Amino acid sequence: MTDDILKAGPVRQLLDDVDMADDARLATALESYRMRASAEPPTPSPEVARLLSRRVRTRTRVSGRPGARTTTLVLLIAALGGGASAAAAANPALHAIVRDALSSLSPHEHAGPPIEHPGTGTRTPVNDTSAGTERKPAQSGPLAPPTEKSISGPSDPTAATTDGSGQEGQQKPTDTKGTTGAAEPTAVSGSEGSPEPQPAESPAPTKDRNDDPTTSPRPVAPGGSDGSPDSVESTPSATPAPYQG
Amino acid sequence: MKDPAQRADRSPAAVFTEAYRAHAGTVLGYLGSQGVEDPEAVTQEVFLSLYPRLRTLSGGKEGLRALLFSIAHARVVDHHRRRARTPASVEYDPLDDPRVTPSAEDHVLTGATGASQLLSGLRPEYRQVIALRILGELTIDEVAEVLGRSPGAVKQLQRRALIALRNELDHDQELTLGTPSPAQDEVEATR
Repeated sequence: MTDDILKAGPVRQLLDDVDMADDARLATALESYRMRASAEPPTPSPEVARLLSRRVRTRTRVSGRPGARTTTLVLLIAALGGGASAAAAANPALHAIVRDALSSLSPHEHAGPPIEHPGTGTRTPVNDTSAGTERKPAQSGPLAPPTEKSISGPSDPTAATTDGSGQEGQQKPTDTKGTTGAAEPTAVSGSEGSPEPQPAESPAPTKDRNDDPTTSPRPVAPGGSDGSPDSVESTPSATPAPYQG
Repeated sequence: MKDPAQRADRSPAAVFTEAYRAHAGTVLGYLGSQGVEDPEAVTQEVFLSLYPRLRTLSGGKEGLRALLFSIAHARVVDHHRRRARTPASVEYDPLDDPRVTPSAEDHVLTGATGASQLLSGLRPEYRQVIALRILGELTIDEVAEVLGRSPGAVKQLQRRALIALRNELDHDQELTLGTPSPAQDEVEATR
């Protein structure tokens, strides 16, 4: 075993040079000395570390150059932001919260849940103007089970997207045709945040409906386009709008 | 596998890095075996002196090692000369006192003093030859060049060094066999 270790080493060479190759005790002592003296490389001083190649120095560092670190940080933040946005967009509860917050800021610009008319049991979807192509009449008679479209206002993506266009579709004709009596009360009540709709001044949609022969009979809600939850709670005190289909 | 010093297209930094990896530990051991007080700091000085000479280096692996140990040997000589002029005053530490008689456990486990301490009892030129031959893995001619002697003188030196070391080992063995340990005394007393 000792001969195998010393076969090609410097100890064997030295012992061969002085003709002492058969001295096992001397060979063992010299090999022990060699093993003990061969230590690990010491930690380089700053001057020596500056002369070492970059490959070695980067091994001792935690990270690479500062530019790569900044890029990595920006990408990480962007990925986290994108993930959070996607999670928020997929959450219906967050939709409702955002909708409530927006309606509290500008209540007249957002459609709310359908308004229930207490006397007739009529349920009228508020501001359901899906670009003027699909308009449902108000349901008469006993209280019909609400459709998914009418009650899922905050979580329905189509309702959320058509809210703005629907509002514009209802407001623009009245403005252009000079039906100031119809649009103004709604705007005033919406801007003041008053929960009380004014049913006496609501025939504007009716006029709008009559002017547009291509559209089907249109549901009319008391209070115009105010679809905030506050207006829904105040509907029992309001006079139901007559259906003029 | 080619040696880093044999590749002409490599940068000095790359050669220097591989030389540090391969030989820094050995140089540290050599300096420590020659009685340098701060071998780690002197190792750094050796490599700092090596770097500007890498461009003119020739001889490949063996040339690099010979140059490295010639620098280290020069540092050892400088160190001993400086210490001879201004003796260092250190506080007494009983653990570092070499005059302490080794215990029985030391005799049983590692011999009287161990190989390194046996070598430290040799003359300085003997220690240098053995260290350069074994740690530096230098040939007789390279050792002669480092020490500034002829190859014949180096041969004589290494022969005398090994004979002296064998005598130290014999003496250590006599101490180990001739002095019974306290544990052996207790065993004998119980019988």
